Amino acid sequence: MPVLKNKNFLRGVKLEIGVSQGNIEKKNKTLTIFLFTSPYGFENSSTAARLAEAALDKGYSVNMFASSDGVYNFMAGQKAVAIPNIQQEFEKLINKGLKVYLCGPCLNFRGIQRQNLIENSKPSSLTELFAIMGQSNVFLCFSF
Amino acid sequence: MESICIIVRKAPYGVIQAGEALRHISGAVVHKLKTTAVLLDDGVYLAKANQAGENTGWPSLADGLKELLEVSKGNPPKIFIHAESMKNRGLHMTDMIKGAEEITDDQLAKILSDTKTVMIF
Repeated sequence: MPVLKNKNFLRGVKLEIGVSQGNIEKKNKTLTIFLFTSPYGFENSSTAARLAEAALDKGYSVNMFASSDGVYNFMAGQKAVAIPNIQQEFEKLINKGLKVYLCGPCLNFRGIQRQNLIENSKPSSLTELFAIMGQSNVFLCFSF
Repeated sequence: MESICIIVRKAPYGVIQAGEALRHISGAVVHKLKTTAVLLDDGVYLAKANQAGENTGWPSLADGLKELLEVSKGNPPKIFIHAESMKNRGLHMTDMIKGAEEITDDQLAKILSDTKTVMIF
């Protein structure tokens, strides 16, 4: 069995299997966060962002569904300084793989148009919300 | 069938939560989820009968809830009112819309443990 005598080969196989199994396990886990409050008036946005980042760093798929005043978190042009700028926080997380969904009727009610939104955040619907819920291992609500 | 429990903790009209909760309860029913709503704390006021909020320009949310129970015959949501919350506010089941049911803490705990997804408003 010449192959088994080759320690480097075996090490490579073990590593590959270990990584593969780890990825499968992590990819199967999905966290969805439902964000209901506006930024700066509540600490929910920062907490939700920190949780999302921790989950993304562990390899989880993370969805953020913003509803009601929560859609304000994803408006472009925020000028917050000296406190966490939530636009920058979410843009960083989107680059890490965060998927963002915004309640479409909530955007319409508030007169928020697509060009007012940060990149890769998109209007969504209850249909999509319930579909995402069905695929999620964990669903967290941030309200007040 | 996926199950969802929507907990309502805020009274209608002062803040948007109860209205949003009703919208999500309706949506869940339309999307054929096994839907349970639990009215807890000030949320019990959502099911208070004889609301007359029309002058505010906002629809009567209790009427919306009642209408939902009437029209969703195939997959009606279960509407539960937390007994202790109701008692603390001097309310009784006779003050509430028909079709809602009273539950205890233990029943609430079982509902939560049996449900896949919980939304809190």
